[in-house]
Amino acid sequence: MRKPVVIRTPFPTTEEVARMMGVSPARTKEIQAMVAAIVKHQREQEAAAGKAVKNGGSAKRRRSAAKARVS
Amino acid sequence: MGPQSADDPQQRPAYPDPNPLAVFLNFPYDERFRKLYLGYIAGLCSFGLAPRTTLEIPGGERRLDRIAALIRSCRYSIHDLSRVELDLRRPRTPRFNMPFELGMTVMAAMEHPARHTWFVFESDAPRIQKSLSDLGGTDVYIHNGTLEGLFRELCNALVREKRRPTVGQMMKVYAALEASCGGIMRRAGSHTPFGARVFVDLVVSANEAVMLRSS
Repeated sequence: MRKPVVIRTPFPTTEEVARMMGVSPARTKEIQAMVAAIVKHQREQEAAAGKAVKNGGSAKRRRSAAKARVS
Repeated sequence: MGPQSADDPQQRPAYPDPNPLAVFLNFPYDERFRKLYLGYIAGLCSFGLAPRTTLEIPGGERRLDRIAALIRSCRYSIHDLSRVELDLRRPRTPRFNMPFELGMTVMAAMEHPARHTWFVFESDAPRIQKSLSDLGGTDVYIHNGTLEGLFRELCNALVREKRRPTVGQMMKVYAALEASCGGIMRRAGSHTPFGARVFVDLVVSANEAVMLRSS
């Protein structure tokens, strides 16, 4: 397998990419707001999932585990 | 229709300096490829690159010239041949566009090796040995048709000097892109993600998700 190609260019900003793709600044702002909301929601879900694992899993999982222990 | 013989090299347009961020993506535009389509956008944006496709090229005359110009404007290209197969709709024909554009790219890279680097991706190693044996001796990146495989192979093909994306990070960018895709399609009045306007909005979305996920 050949060696991977090394990319040395700096990360472009979203505005730079939008300009390259011909997306207007107004539309870029709309997209940024939409993605910000999605990423925020994802982070909240990840945090909730992390908390559930820390506390021994979800309530449903704890209930079924308790039920299994009783039976 | 223009002449189809090789023209005078002196008359050919000079090879422009390619955009160092641009990656020409050569893949099928159909629903069965949707997951990998979004995966390529998410993965390449995670490497700080900007995918370009022929979706951006309007139809009409001189399409071939525009495709050639788009390929020459990109520093890299990725050719996914995993769906080079018989189109079962009538008339039943093989899908020639992808290998044809790969051929155009290979010629451009042979003439100007410092200005273009191309990669071939496939889902099945034995198939490409049969379908395109001329590529024997060329490294083909086999993604097995999965997102994990695609991101793994992107990591084998590309490496960033700084801020190297992991497969896990690319999966998160993909999840954000998948979540934004419906809204982008609705706004564009499109029933498919394979439209010019939807594509450019998806690239901007993926780039923003990379920015937010890395902050």
